[in-house]
Amino acid sequence: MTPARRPEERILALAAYLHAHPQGVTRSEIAEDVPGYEGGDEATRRMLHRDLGDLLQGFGIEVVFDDTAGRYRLRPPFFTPAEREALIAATALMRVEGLRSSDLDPIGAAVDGEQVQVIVRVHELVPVLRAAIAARQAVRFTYHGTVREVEPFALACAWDRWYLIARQRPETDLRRFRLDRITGNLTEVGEPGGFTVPGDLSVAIGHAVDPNVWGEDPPVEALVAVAPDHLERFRRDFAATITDCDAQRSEVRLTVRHRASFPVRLAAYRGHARLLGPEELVAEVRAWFGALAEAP
Amino acid sequence: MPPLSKQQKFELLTATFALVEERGPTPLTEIAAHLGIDVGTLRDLIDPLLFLEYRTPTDIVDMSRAFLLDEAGVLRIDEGHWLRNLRSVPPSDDDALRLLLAAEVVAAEITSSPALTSARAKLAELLGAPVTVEATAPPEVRLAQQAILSGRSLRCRYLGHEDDTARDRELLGHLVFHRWGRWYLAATDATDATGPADAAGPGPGGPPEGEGDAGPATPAVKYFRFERMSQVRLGDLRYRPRDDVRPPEWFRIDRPTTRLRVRTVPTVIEYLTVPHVCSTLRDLGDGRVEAELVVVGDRMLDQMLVALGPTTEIVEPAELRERRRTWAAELAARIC
Repeated sequence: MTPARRPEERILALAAYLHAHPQGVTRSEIAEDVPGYEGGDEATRRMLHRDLGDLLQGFGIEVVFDDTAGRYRLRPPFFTPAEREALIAATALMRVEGLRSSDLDPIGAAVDGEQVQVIVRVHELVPVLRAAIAARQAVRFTYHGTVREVEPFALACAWDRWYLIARQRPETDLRRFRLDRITGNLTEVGEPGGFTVPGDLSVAIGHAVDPNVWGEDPPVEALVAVAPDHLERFRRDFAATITDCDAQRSEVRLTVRHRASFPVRLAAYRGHARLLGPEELVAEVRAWFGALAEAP
Repeated sequence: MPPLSKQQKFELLTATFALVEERGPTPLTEIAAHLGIDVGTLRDLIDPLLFLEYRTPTDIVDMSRAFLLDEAGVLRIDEGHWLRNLRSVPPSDDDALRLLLAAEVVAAEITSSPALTSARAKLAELLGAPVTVEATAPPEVRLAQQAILSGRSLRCRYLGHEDDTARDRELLGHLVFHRWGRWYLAATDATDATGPADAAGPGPGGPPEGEGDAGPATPAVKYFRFERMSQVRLGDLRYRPRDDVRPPEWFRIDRPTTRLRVRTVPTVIEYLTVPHVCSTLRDLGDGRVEAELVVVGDRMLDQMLVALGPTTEIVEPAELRERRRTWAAELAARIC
């Protein structure tokens, strides 16, 4: 057998050997079987421990020592081979921008990104807030010019915008904060573990990222006539329900929860969507455009 | 080349195996070029590993099947990357977040498997925080992917961004992708291959983007937003989809830009959903700010004039005040 002299050769042979012996091996077995550890004396023991450190640092492979049995064994891998393959496939289809650059060495990754279908940009505050959520650490930041102290619970991205779902102290309701509207330094408040996260956040996250439930005004059911070619886009934009449809136009119903932005959203359709009712809302929108026509 | 440290050797070995695992059998020359070292150094580094072995009580176990260098100087890994498979250290927070986002989106929109599900659970537990990305694909996305796979055209009504007019289109799709929060189809327009691009424009709440082609090398490819499509169905034209089309880094924008100076309360600027660039912001001391905004294209300018609202004062250019008055009156008549 070829004597192994180089550290990298010895270390990788050790990894292969330990991999082949999931029940664990003693130091004397290593000394006997793995090239480079012959002898079993104190110098060999030190070399083995140095190599185990290198295996951890260089390759992320951790070897644990069972004191009772006197055996070394590999710590189980974080990902199974199947999980790693699935993640490699997933990362090949998606590019995440905005995080510190990484070659995803822990799992491997598509080298050239030829298959990328989805590109998501991560806001710079996401890693910081993620860490705060994990630590149950309250944070303070300025939002719309006001300093807020919040208990962060979850992060969500929709329409290329990132949101924090949190409870603003001393209120009890969940609120969402758009990360690009947070200004000033984000600072930690109090100690980690200062709050508990509510059990089921799925509804809160869903509301945070759905533009059709934005706004806290009393909901109003609006009736809108939409030109056929604009119907699909309108229906998606407003989560509208088609109530009547012919070749000329369709009537749809939708719930308005944010009156201030409603005229602006309607204006984007440049007249291909006409507000039919209720009369109170029609009058309000008409007045809004009237004021706009008189603006300085 | 100076002697390599132990750590450098580990890094080069890891990178070598990663490259070969991901690219398949790879010539040493290509690996060396990728790593920025010479072939001799690379060969010196991997040679002993090609004969990796250890003893058992009855035999010598040869690990050379894991790393194989053929006579043509091509390195291959036949049993997957066992070094990576043994990795027990969890990924860093940033890597875990990157992996979780990819896994969440791919599982929700493209494909999933028990392995991906269990990987997502491990990553979510590691990160200790719910992190969600909404990238729900409209049904037309699946149809477009089916069209590309089968090499058939896609027919639809497409709402032009500039003139708001819908026209029948027959598109030869090459790539479906999601970027800037929207789904796009990169396609050659078989209806009017030589006409002006009118695909992919900004919409309410959208980021700065525009229309355009994929550059001089691929002049016929345009980007079509799925939300502007209706009556989508498979067409009868047969074609060979291009495999060199990639999501664009940015759209080429060749529409006129308008710079306007306004005075308003800060929240109006914060809540603007019209794509724009805010170049300066000055506190006026009366609760308002003076802002300089740049907006691209006539249509976006019209929408910006509306989105600024009645309380915003347009300082300059002065003619935009009249334009806003006229446009607001026209919209009131059309909408109400």
